[in-house]
Amino acid sequence: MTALASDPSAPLVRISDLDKWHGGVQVLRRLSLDLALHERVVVCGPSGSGKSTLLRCVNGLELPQSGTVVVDGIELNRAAVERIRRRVGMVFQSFNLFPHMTVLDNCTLAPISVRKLRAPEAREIALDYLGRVRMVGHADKYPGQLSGGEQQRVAIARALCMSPKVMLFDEPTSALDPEMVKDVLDVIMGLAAAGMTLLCVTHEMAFARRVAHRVVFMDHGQIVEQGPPDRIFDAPESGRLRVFLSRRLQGSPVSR
Amino acid sequence: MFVEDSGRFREKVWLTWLGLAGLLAWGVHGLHLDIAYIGAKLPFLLGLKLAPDGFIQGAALTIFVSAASMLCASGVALVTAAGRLSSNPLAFALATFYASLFRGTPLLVQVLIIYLALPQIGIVLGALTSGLVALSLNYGAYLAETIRSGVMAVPAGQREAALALGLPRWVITWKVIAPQALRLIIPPAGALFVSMLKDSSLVSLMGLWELNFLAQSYARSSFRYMEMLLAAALIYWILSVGFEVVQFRLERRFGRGIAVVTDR
Repeated sequence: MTALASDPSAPLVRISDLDKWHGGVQVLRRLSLDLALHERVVVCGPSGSGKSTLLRCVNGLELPQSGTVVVDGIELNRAAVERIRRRVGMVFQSFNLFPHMTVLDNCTLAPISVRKLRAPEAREIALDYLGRVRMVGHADKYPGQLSGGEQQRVAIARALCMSPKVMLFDEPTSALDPEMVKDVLDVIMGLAAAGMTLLCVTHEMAFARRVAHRVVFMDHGQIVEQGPPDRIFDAPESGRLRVFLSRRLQGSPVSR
Repeated sequence: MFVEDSGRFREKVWLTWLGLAGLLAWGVHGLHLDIAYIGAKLPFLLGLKLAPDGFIQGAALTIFVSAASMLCASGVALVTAAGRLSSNPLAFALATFYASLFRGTPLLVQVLIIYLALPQIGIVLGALTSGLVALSLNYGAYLAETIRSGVMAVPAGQREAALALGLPRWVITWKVIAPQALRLIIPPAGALFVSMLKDSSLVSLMGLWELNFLAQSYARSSFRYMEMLLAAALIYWILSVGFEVVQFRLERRFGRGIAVVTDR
Protein backbone atom coordinates (compact mmCIF):
# COMPACT_ATOMS: atom_id res chain seq x y z
CA MET A 1 0.00 0.00 0.00
CA THR A 2 2.72 2.43 0.97
CA ALA A 3 4.57 1.60 -2.22
CA LEU A 4 1.52 2.65 -4.21
CA ALA A 5 1.10 5.82 -2.21
CA SER A 6 4.65 6.92 -2.81
CA ASP A 7 4.35 6.47 -6.56
CA PRO A 8 3.79 10.03 -7.83
CA SER A 9 2.56 8.88 -11.22
CA ALA A 10 -0.28 6.83 -9.73
CA PRO A 11 -3.69 8.51 -9.91
CA LEU A 12 -5.14 9.83 -6.64
CA VAL A 13 -8.33 7.87 -7.21
CA ARG A 14 -8.41 4.73 -9.31
CA ILE A 15 -11.76 3.07 -9.94
CA SER A 16 -11.47 -0.22 -11.80
CA ASP A 17 -14.13 -2.50 -13.24
CA LEU A 18 -16.89 -1.68 -10.75
CA ASP A 19 -20.03 -3.78 -10.83
CA LYS A 20 -22.83 -2.70 -8.55
CA TRP A 21 -26.31 -4.10 -8.25
CA HIS A 22 -29.21 -2.71 -6.23
CA GLY A 23 -31.37 -5.78 -5.82
CA GLY A 24 -31.83 -7.12 -9.34
CA VAL A 25 -30.88 -3.87 -11.07
CA GLN A 26 -27.32 -3.38 -12.25
CA VAL A 27 -26.41 0.23 -11.48
CA LEU A 28 -22.74 0.20 -12.49
CA ARG A 29 -21.34 -2.00 -15.28
CA ARG A 30 -17.61 -2.64 -15.41
CA LEU A 31 -17.00 1.03 -14.78
CA SER A 32 -13.44 2.38 -14.61
CA LEU A 33 -12.33 5.95 -13.96
CA ASP A 34 -9.06 7.52 -12.82
CA LEU A 35 -8.69 10.85 -11.12
CA ALA A 36 -5.27 12.51 -11.04
CA LEU A 37 -4.10 14.77 -8.24
CA HIS A 38 -5.52 18.30 -8.77
CA GLU A 39 -7.80 17.01 -11.51
CA ARG A 40 -11.42 18.21 -11.69
CA VAL A 41 -13.91 15.80 -13.22
CA VAL A 42 -17.61 16.52 -13.70
CA VAL A 43 -19.96 13.58 -14.11
CA CYS A 44 -23.22 14.15 -15.94
CA GLY A 45 -25.94 11.93 -17.31
CA PRO A 46 -29.66 11.23 -17.06
CA SER A 47 -31.12 10.35 -13.69
CA GLY A 48 -30.75 6.69 -12.86
CA SER A 49 -27.52 6.46 -14.84
CA GLY A 50 -25.50 5.55 -11.73
CA LYS A 51 -23.70 8.87 -11.13
CA SER A 52 -24.49 9.07 -7.42
CA THR A 53 -23.74 5.40 -6.89
CA LEU A 54 -20.34 5.90 -8.51
CA LEU A 55 -19.57 8.72 -6.05
CA ARG A 56 -20.82 6.70 -3.08
CA CYS A 57 -18.55 3.81 -4.05
CA VAL A 58 -15.48 6.06 -3.78
CA ASN A 59 -15.86 6.58 -0.01
CA GLY A 60 -17.49 3.25 0.74
CA LEU A 61 -21.02 4.49 1.46
CA GLU A 62 -21.78 1.66 -0.93
CA LEU A 63 -19.55 -1.32 -1.55
CA PRO A 64 -19.46 -2.69 -5.09
CA GLN A 65 -20.07 -6.39 -5.78
CA SER A 66 -16.87 -6.52 -7.80
CA GLY A 67 -14.08 -4.22 -8.91
CA THR A 68 -11.65 -2.11 -6.91
CA VAL A 69 -11.38 1.44 -5.66
CA VAL A 70 -7.99 2.78 -4.62
CA VAL A 71 -7.73 6.21 -2.98
CA ASP A 72 -4.34 7.68 -2.18
CA GLY A 73 -2.78 4.23 -2.38
CA ILE A 74 -5.32 2.58 -0.05
CA GLU A 75 -7.59 -0.08 -1.46
CA LEU A 76 -11.20 0.25 -0.33
CA ASN A 77 -12.51 -2.62 1.77
CA ARG A 78 -14.37 -2.91 5.05
CA ALA A 79 -11.19 -2.64 7.10
CA ALA A 80 -9.84 0.42 5.27
CA VAL A 81 -13.09 2.31 4.83
CA GLU A 82 -12.56 4.76 7.70
CA ARG A 83 -9.03 5.57 6.59
CA ILE A 84 -10.35 6.31 3.11
CA ARG A 85 -13.17 8.48 4.40
CA ARG A 86 -10.65 10.65 6.22
CA ARG A 87 -9.08 11.42 2.85
CA VAL A 88 -12.35 11.95 0.98
CA GLY A 89 -14.77 14.80 1.65
CA MET A 90 -18.35 14.49 0.49
CA VAL A 91 -21.08 17.05 -0.04
CA PHE A 92 -24.66 15.86 -0.48
CA GLN A 93 -27.60 17.17 -2.46
CA SER A 94 -29.61 17.61 0.76
CA PHE A 95 -26.71 19.12 2.82
CA ASN A 96 -27.23 16.70 5.74
CA LEU A 97 -25.94 19.09 8.37
CA PHE A 98 -26.55 17.89 11.93
CA PRO A 99 -29.61 19.97 12.92
CA HIS A 100 -29.04 19.75 16.68
CA MET A 101 -25.55 21.26 16.51
CA THR A 102 -24.44 24.79 15.73
CA VAL A 103 -22.62 25.50 12.49
CA LEU A 104 -19.34 25.55 14.41
CA ASP A 105 -20.03 22.24 16.18
CA ASN A 106 -20.93 20.67 12.84
CA CYS A 107 -17.48 21.65 11.62
CA THR A 108 -15.49 20.62 14.69
CA LEU A 109 -17.13 17.25 15.53
CA ALA A 110 -15.11 15.14 13.08
CA PRO A 111 -11.77 16.96 13.53
CA ILE A 112 -12.06 16.48 17.31
CA SER A 113 -13.26 12.87 17.34
CA VAL A 114 -11.42 11.55 14.28
CA ARG A 115 -8.31 13.69 13.88
CA LYS A 116 -8.05 14.03 17.68
CA LEU A 117 -7.53 17.77 17.50
CA ARG A 118 -7.96 19.84 20.66
CA ALA A 119 -11.13 21.93 20.72
CA PRO A 120 -9.44 25.35 20.30
CA GLU A 121 -7.40 24.11 17.37
CA ALA A 122 -10.44 22.50 15.69
CA ARG A 123 -12.34 25.72 16.27
CA GLU A 124 -9.64 27.81 14.64
CA ILE A 125 -9.56 25.55 11.58
CA ALA A 126 -13.37 25.54 11.36
CA LEU A 127 -13.56 29.34 11.54
CA ASP A 128 -10.91 29.57 8.84
CA TYR A 129 -12.91 27.36 6.46
CA LEU A 130 -16.19 29.02 7.41
CA GLY A 131 -14.51 32.27 6.43
CA ARG A 132 -13.57 30.85 3.06
CA VAL A 133 -17.20 29.91 2.35
CA ARG A 134 -18.28 33.33 3.74
CA MET A 135 -20.23 31.82 6.63
CA VAL A 136 -18.05 32.83 9.57
CA GLY A 137 -20.70 35.23 10.87
CA HIS A 138 -23.14 32.35 11.21
CA ALA A 139 -20.88 30.09 13.29
CA ASP A 140 -23.18 30.04 16.32
CA LYS A 141 -26.43 29.54 14.42
CA TYR A 142 -28.23 26.26 13.95
CA PRO A 143 -28.66 24.84 10.43
CA GLY A 144 -32.43 25.43 10.62
CA GLN A 145 -31.80 29.16 10.80
CA LEU A 146 -29.93 29.19 7.47
CA SER A 147 -31.07 29.18 3.86
CA GLY A 148 -30.37 26.16 1.68
CA GLY A 149 -27.45 27.84 -0.03
CA GLU A 150 -25.93 28.83 3.32
CA GLN A 151 -26.37 25.28 4.66
CA GLN A 152 -24.64 23.85 1.62
CA ARG A 153 -21.70 26.22 2.08
CA VAL A 154 -21.43 25.10 5.71
CA ALA A 155 -21.54 21.48 4.53
CA ILE A 156 -18.61 22.22 2.23
CA ALA A 157 -16.67 23.83 5.09
CA ARG A 158 -17.47 20.86 7.33
CA ALA A 159 -15.97 18.47 4.78
CA LEU A 160 -12.91 20.70 4.27
CA CYS A 161 -12.16 20.73 8.01
CA MET A 162 -10.97 17.13 7.64
CA SER A 163 -8.33 18.29 5.10
CA PRO A 164 -9.48 15.82 2.44
CA LYS A 165 -7.34 15.01 -0.57
CA VAL A 166 -10.35 14.77 -2.84
CA MET A 167 -13.85 16.25 -2.64
CA LEU A 168 -16.96 14.51 -3.93
CA PHE A 169 -19.99 16.64 -4.78
CA ASP A 170 -23.28 14.83 -5.34
CA GLU A 171 -25.53 17.32 -7.14
CA PRO A 172 -24.65 20.07 -4.64
CA THR A 173 -27.05 22.65 -6.10
CA SER A 174 -30.02 20.49 -7.15
CA ALA A 175 -31.98 21.16 -3.95
CA LEU A 176 -31.37 24.92 -4.01
CA ASP A 177 -33.49 27.85 -5.10
CA PRO A 178 -32.01 29.33 -8.30
CA GLU A 179 -30.76 32.52 -6.63
CA MET A 180 -28.62 30.50 -4.20
CA VAL A 181 -26.98 28.26 -6.78
CA LYS A 182 -24.36 30.81 -7.75
CA ASP A 183 -23.03 31.29 -4.21
CA VAL A 184 -22.44 27.56 -3.81
CA LEU A 185 -20.89 27.19 -7.26
CA ASP A 186 -18.59 30.15 -6.53
CA VAL A 187 -17.35 28.38 -3.42
CA ILE A 188 -16.61 25.24 -5.44
CA MET A 189 -14.85 27.36 -8.07
CA GLY A 190 -12.72 28.78 -5.28
CA LEU A 191 -11.77 25.28 -4.20
CA ALA A 192 -10.86 24.44 -7.78
CA ALA A 193 -8.66 27.52 -8.01
CA ALA A 194 -6.88 26.39 -4.85
CA GLY A 195 -5.98 23.09 -6.53
CA MET A 196 -8.45 20.73 -4.85
CA THR A 197 -9.09 17.44 -6.61
CA LEU A 198 -12.80 17.30 -7.44
CA LEU A 199 -15.29 14.71 -8.57
CA CYS A 200 -18.63 16.42 -9.05
CA VAL A 201 -22.01 15.19 -10.22
CA THR A 202 -24.00 18.15 -11.50
CA HIS A 203 -26.57 19.29 -14.03
CA GLU A 204 -25.08 22.79 -14.15
CA MET A 205 -23.53 22.65 -17.63
CA ALA A 206 -22.14 26.20 -17.62
CA PHE A 207 -20.41 25.45 -14.35
CA ALA A 208 -19.07 22.17 -15.72
CA ARG A 209 -17.65 24.00 -18.71
CA ARG A 210 -15.80 26.46 -16.49
CA VAL A 211 -14.55 24.17 -13.75
CA ALA A 212 -13.90 20.77 -15.31
CA HIS A 213 -10.73 19.44 -16.86
CA ARG A 214 -12.77 16.50 -18.01
CA VAL A 215 -16.47 15.77 -18.36
CA VAL A 216 -17.70 12.21 -18.05
CA PHE A 217 -21.07 11.33 -19.55
CA MET A 218 -22.71 8.27 -17.98
CA ASP A 219 -25.75 6.30 -19.04
CA HIS A 220 -27.03 2.96 -17.81
CA GLY A 221 -24.13 2.47 -15.42
CA GLN A 222 -21.42 2.98 -18.01
CA ILE A 223 -19.22 5.81 -19.21
CA VAL A 224 -20.49 6.53 -22.70
CA GLU A 225 -18.20 9.39 -23.55
CA GLN A 226 -15.57 11.53 -21.82
CA GLY A 227 -13.28 14.37 -22.69
CA PRO A 228 -12.58 18.08 -22.23
CA PRO A 229 -15.78 20.07 -21.65
CA ASP A 230 -15.63 21.96 -24.93
CA ARG A 231 -15.48 18.77 -26.95
CA ILE A 232 -18.19 17.03 -24.89
CA PHE A 233 -20.62 19.93 -25.05
CA ASP A 234 -19.85 21.31 -28.53
CA ALA A 235 -18.98 18.18 -30.48
CA PRO A 236 -20.66 15.20 -28.81
CA GLU A 237 -19.96 11.96 -30.63
CA SER A 238 -22.51 9.51 -29.29
CA GLY A 239 -26.22 9.72 -30.01
CA ARG A 240 -27.10 9.28 -26.35
CA LEU A 241 -25.04 12.30 -25.29
CA ARG A 242 -26.53 14.41 -28.09
CA VAL A 243 -30.06 13.50 -26.98
CA PHE A 244 -29.13 14.25 -23.33
CA LEU A 245 -27.63 17.64 -24.18
CA SER A 246 -30.51 18.73 -26.41
CA ARG A 247 -32.98 17.93 -23.62
CA ARG A 248 -30.86 19.83 -21.11
CA LEU A 249 -30.59 22.88 -23.39
CA GLN A 250 -34.31 23.07 -23.98
CA GLY A 251 -34.93 23.23 -20.27
CA SER A 252 -32.29 25.70 -19.17
CA PRO A 253 -30.53 28.77 -20.55
CA VAL A 254 -27.38 28.14 -18.50
CA SER A 255 -25.22 26.30 -21.04
CA ARG A 256 -23.00 29.29 -21.76
CA MET B 1 -47.84 32.33 14.62
CA PHE B 2 -47.16 35.92 15.66
CA VAL B 3 -45.58 36.61 19.03
CA GLU B 4 -48.45 38.82 20.23
CA ASP B 5 -50.92 36.12 19.29
CA SER B 6 -49.07 33.33 21.08
CA GLY B 7 -48.91 35.49 24.24
CA ARG B 8 -52.65 36.07 24.21
CA PHE B 9 -53.24 32.41 23.39
CA ARG B 10 -51.33 31.32 26.46
CA GLU B 11 -53.18 33.83 28.63
CA LYS B 12 -56.54 32.49 27.47
CA VAL B 13 -55.47 28.90 28.09
CA TRP B 14 -54.47 29.77 31.66
CA LEU B 15 -57.75 31.61 32.30
CA THR B 16 -59.78 28.68 30.99
CA TRP B 17 -57.79 26.27 33.15
CA LEU B 18 -58.38 28.44 36.22
CA GLY B 19 -62.09 28.61 35.44
CA LEU B 20 -62.36 24.84 35.05
CA ALA B 21 -60.38 24.25 38.27
CA GLY B 22 -62.68 26.68 40.09
CA LEU B 23 -65.72 24.88 38.76
CA LEU B 24 -64.30 21.54 39.89
CA ALA B 25 -63.50 22.95 43.36
CA TRP B 26 -67.00 24.39 43.65
CA GLY B 27 -68.52 21.03 42.69
CA VAL B 28 -66.35 19.19 45.21
CA HIS B 29 -67.23 21.78 47.85
CA GLY B 30 -70.91 20.98 47.23
CA LEU B 31 -70.24 17.39 48.27
CA HIS B 32 -69.77 18.57 51.88
CA LEU B 33 -66.66 16.51 52.35
CA ASP B 34 -65.15 15.82 55.76
CA ILE B 35 -62.09 18.00 55.24
CA ALA B 36 -60.79 17.36 58.75
CA TYR B 37 -60.65 13.61 58.03
CA ILE B 38 -58.73 14.21 54.81
CA GLY B 39 -56.37 16.48 56.74
CA ALA B 40 -55.79 13.79 59.35
CA LYS B 41 -55.00 11.10 56.79
CA LEU B 42 -53.08 13.29 54.31
CA PRO B 43 -49.61 12.79 55.89
CA PHE B 44 -50.12 9.02 55.55
CA LEU B 45 -51.45 9.26 51.99
CA LEU B 46 -48.52 11.43 51.00
CA GLY B 47 -46.10 9.07 52.72
CA LEU B 48 -44.71 11.69 55.09
CA LYS B 49 -44.93 9.04 57.81
CA LEU B 50 -43.51 5.54 57.58
CA ALA B 51 -45.73 2.45 57.63
CA PRO B 52 -45.87 0.37 60.84
CA ASP B 53 -43.25 -1.99 59.39
CA GLY B 54 -40.91 0.97 58.91
CA PHE B 55 -41.19 1.01 55.15
CA ILE B 56 -42.22 3.98 53.01
CA GLN B 57 -45.89 4.16 52.10
CA GLY B 58 -48.46 6.19 50.19
CA ALA B 59 -47.38 8.60 47.46
CA ALA B 60 -43.74 8.20 48.46
CA LEU B 61 -43.95 4.47 47.71
CA THR B 62 -45.82 5.20 44.48
CA ILE B 63 -43.05 7.56 43.39
CA PHE B 64 -40.36 5.06 44.41
CA VAL B 65 -41.99 2.16 42.53
CA SER B 66 -42.55 4.31 39.43
CA ALA B 67 -39.07 5.82 39.40
CA ALA B 68 -37.31 2.49 39.96
CA SER B 69 -39.46 0.81 37.30
CA MET B 70 -38.82 3.64 34.84
CA LEU B 71 -35.09 3.25 35.33
CA CYS B 72 -35.17 -0.53 34.85
CA ALA B 73 -37.66 -0.29 31.98
CA SER B 74 -35.38 2.20 30.22
CA GLY B 75 -32.44 -0.20 30.49
CA VAL B 76 -34.51 -3.13 29.27
CA ALA B 77 -35.93 -1.01 26.45
CA LEU B 78 -32.51 0.20 25.27
CA VAL B 79 -31.22 -3.36 24.99
CA THR B 80 -34.43 -4.53 23.31
CA ALA B 81 -34.44 -1.62 20.83
CA ALA B 82 -30.80 -2.38 19.98
CA GLY B 83 -31.80 -5.97 19.28
CA ARG B 84 -34.77 -4.82 17.25
CA LEU B 85 -32.49 -2.63 15.10
CA SER B 86 -29.78 -5.27 14.88
CA SER B 87 -28.97 -7.20 11.72
CA ASN B 88 -28.13 -10.23 13.87
CA PRO B 89 -31.08 -12.65 13.50
CA LEU B 90 -30.67 -14.06 17.03
CA ALA B 91 -30.71 -10.61 18.67
CA PHE B 92 -33.64 -9.54 16.49
CA ALA B 93 -35.62 -12.69 17.32
CA LEU B 94 -34.96 -12.39 21.07
CA ALA B 95 -36.04 -8.75 21.08
CA THR B 96 -39.20 -9.23 19.04
CA PHE B 97 -40.21 -12.37 20.95
CA TYR B 98 -39.88 -10.61 24.30
CA ALA B 99 -41.70 -7.49 23.11
CA SER B 100 -44.53 -9.53 21.60
CA LEU B 101 -44.94 -11.63 24.76
CA PHE B 102 -45.08 -8.69 27.17
CA ARG B 103 -47.13 -6.41 24.94
CA GLY B 104 -49.55 -9.19 24.15
CA THR B 105 -50.53 -10.08 27.73
CA PRO B 106 -52.23 -7.90 30.37
CA LEU B 107 -50.01 -6.25 32.96
CA LEU B 108 -52.32 -7.52 35.71
CA VAL B 109 -51.80 -11.13 34.60
CA GLN B 110 -48.03 -10.57 34.47
CA VAL B 111 -48.03 -9.16 38.01
CA LEU B 112 -49.99 -12.13 39.31
CA ILE B 113 -47.87 -14.70 37.46
CA ILE B 114 -44.70 -13.24 38.91
CA TYR B 115 -46.05 -12.88 42.46
CA LEU B 116 -48.45 -15.82 42.82
CA ALA B 117 -47.52 -18.40 40.18
CA LEU B 118 -43.72 -18.34 40.20
CA PRO B 119 -43.49 -19.54 43.85
CA GLN B 120 -45.11 -22.78 42.60
CA ILE B 121 -41.83 -23.58 40.80
CA GLY B 122 -39.70 -22.36 43.66
CA ILE B 123 -39.10 -18.75 42.58
CA VAL B 124 -40.31 -16.58 45.43
CA LEU B 125 -40.08 -12.84 44.90
CA GLY B 126 -41.16 -10.26 47.46
CA ALA B 127 -44.16 -8.05 46.77
CA LEU B 128 -42.03 -5.01 45.93
CA THR B 129 -39.61 -6.96 43.73
CA SER B 130 -42.49 -8.64 41.90
CA GLY B 131 -44.07 -5.27 41.20
CA LEU B 132 -40.81 -3.76 39.97
CA VAL B 133 -40.05 -6.75 37.74
CA ALA B 134 -43.54 -6.81 36.21
CA LEU B 135 -43.69 -3.05 35.58
CA SER B 136 -40.14 -2.96 34.19
CA LEU B 137 -40.64 -5.85 31.81
CA ASN B 138 -44.05 -4.69 30.64
CA TYR B 139 -43.13 -1.04 30.10
CA GLY B 140 -39.71 -1.99 28.76
CA ALA B 141 -41.43 -3.78 25.89
CA TYR B 142 -43.51 -0.72 24.99
CA LEU B 143 -40.66 1.72 25.47
CA ALA B 144 -38.44 -0.39 23.20
CA GLU B 145 -40.86 0.19 20.32
CA THR B 146 -40.89 3.92 21.07
CA ILE B 147 -37.09 4.05 21.03
CA ARG B 148 -36.90 2.02 17.85
CA SER B 149 -39.34 4.23 15.97
CA GLY B 150 -37.47 7.34 17.16
CA VAL B 151 -34.17 6.01 15.86
CA MET B 152 -35.75 4.95 12.56
CA ALA B 153 -37.24 8.42 12.09
CA VAL B 154 -33.82 10.11 11.95
CA PRO B 155 -33.21 10.70 8.22
CA ALA B 156 -30.79 8.27 6.57
CA GLY B 157 -28.77 11.24 5.28
CA GLN B 158 -27.66 12.02 8.84
CA ARG B 159 -25.95 8.66 9.21
CA GLU B 160 -24.46 8.92 5.72
CA ALA B 161 -23.05 12.38 6.36
CA ALA B 162 -21.53 11.12 9.62
CA LEU B 163 -20.05 8.07 7.87
CA ALA B 164 -18.66 10.23 5.08
CA LEU B 165 -16.83 12.32 7.69
CA GLY B 166 -15.17 9.12 8.91
CA LEU B 167 -16.79 9.32 12.35
CA PRO B 168 -16.46 6.13 14.41
CA ARG B 169 -19.60 4.16 15.17
CA TRP B 170 -20.04 5.24 18.80
CA VAL B 171 -19.76 8.92 17.90
CA ILE B 172 -22.41 8.45 15.19
CA THR B 173 -24.68 6.66 17.63
CA TRP B 174 -24.33 8.98 20.63
CA LYS B 175 -23.60 12.38 19.10
CA VAL B 176 -25.49 12.30 15.82
CA ILE B 177 -28.35 9.78 16.00
CA ALA B 178 -29.26 9.64 19.72
CA PRO B 179 -29.83 13.38 20.29
CA GLN B 180 -32.08 13.59 17.23
CA ALA B 181 -33.92 10.38 18.13
CA LEU B 182 -34.41 11.55 21.75
CA ARG B 183 -36.33 14.59 20.56
CA LEU B 184 -38.82 12.20 18.95
CA ILE B 185 -38.75 9.66 21.78
CA ILE B 186 -39.38 12.00 24.72
CA PRO B 187 -43.08 12.88 24.11
CA PRO B 188 -44.34 9.28 23.72
CA ALA B 189 -41.95 8.05 26.43
CA GLY B 190 -43.31 10.74 28.76
CA ALA B 191 -46.85 9.55 28.08
CA LEU B 192 -45.74 5.99 28.88
CA PHE B 193 -44.19 7.08 32.17
CA VAL B 194 -47.31 9.00 33.24
CA SER B 195 -49.32 5.90 32.53
CA MET B 196 -46.82 3.83 34.53
CA LEU B 197 -47.25 6.20 37.48
CA LYS B 198 -50.91 5.24 37.51
CA ASP B 199 -50.36 1.55 36.75
CA SER B 200 -48.06 1.38 39.76
CA SER B 201 -51.29 1.15 41.79
CA LEU B 202 -51.41 -2.49 40.65
CA VAL B 203 -48.77 -3.36 43.22
CA SER B 204 -51.41 -2.74 45.90
CA LEU B 205 -52.74 -6.17 44.90
CA MET B 206 -49.72 -7.66 46.62
CA GLY B 207 -50.40 -5.77 49.81
CA LEU B 208 -47.97 -2.93 49.26
CA TRP B 209 -49.14 0.20 51.05
CA GLU B 210 -48.97 2.58 48.13
CA LEU B 211 -51.26 5.53 47.56
CA ASN B 212 -54.26 3.69 46.12
CA PHE B 213 -54.07 0.91 48.75
CA LEU B 214 -54.00 3.37 51.67
CA ALA B 215 -56.86 5.43 50.27
CA GLN B 216 -59.02 2.34 49.90
CA SER B 217 -58.28 0.94 53.33
CA TYR B 218 -58.91 4.25 55.14
CA ALA B 219 -62.11 4.63 53.13
CA ARG B 220 -63.26 1.13 54.01
CA SER B 221 -62.71 1.63 57.75
CA SER B 222 -64.37 5.06 57.90
CA PHE B 223 -66.87 4.89 55.01
CA ARG B 224 -65.27 8.10 53.74
CA TYR B 225 -64.87 6.75 50.20
CA MET B 226 -65.44 10.10 48.47
CA GLU B 227 -62.90 11.89 50.66
CA MET B 228 -60.15 9.30 50.38
CA LEU B 229 -60.52 8.44 46.69
CA LEU B 230 -60.75 12.09 45.62
CA ALA B 231 -57.67 12.88 47.71
CA ALA B 232 -55.78 9.98 46.10
CA ALA B 233 -56.91 11.04 42.62
CA LEU B 234 -55.77 14.60 43.27
CA ILE B 235 -52.34 13.42 44.44
CA TYR B 236 -51.92 11.20 41.34
CA TRP B 237 -52.90 14.16 39.21
CA ILE B 238 -50.39 16.50 40.83
CA LEU B 239 -47.64 13.89 40.41
CA SER B 240 -48.52 13.53 36.72
CA VAL B 241 -48.45 17.29 36.18
CA GLY B 242 -45.06 17.44 37.88
CA PHE B 243 -43.83 14.76 35.53
CA GLU B 244 -45.20 16.57 32.51
CA VAL B 245 -43.27 19.69 33.51
CA VAL B 246 -40.05 17.64 33.54
CA GLN B 247 -40.98 16.19 30.15
CA PHE B 248 -41.64 19.66 28.73
CA ARG B 249 -38.22 20.85 29.86
CA LEU B 250 -36.53 17.82 28.30
CA GLU B 251 -38.40 18.40 25.05
CA ARG B 252 -37.16 21.95 24.94
CA ARG B 253 -33.62 20.84 25.73
CA PHE B 254 -33.52 18.31 22.88
CA GLY B 255 -35.47 20.53 20.51
CA ARG B 256 -32.45 22.83 20.20
CA GLY B 257 -31.84 23.73 16.60
CA ILE B 258 -35.11 22.11 15.53
CA ALA B 259 -37.51 24.47 17.26
CA VAL B 260 -36.05 27.47 15.47
CA VAL B 261 -37.30 26.09 12.16
CA THR B 262 -40.92 26.04 13.28
CA ASP B 263 -40.58 29.60 14.59
CA ARG B 264 -39.84 30.96 11.15
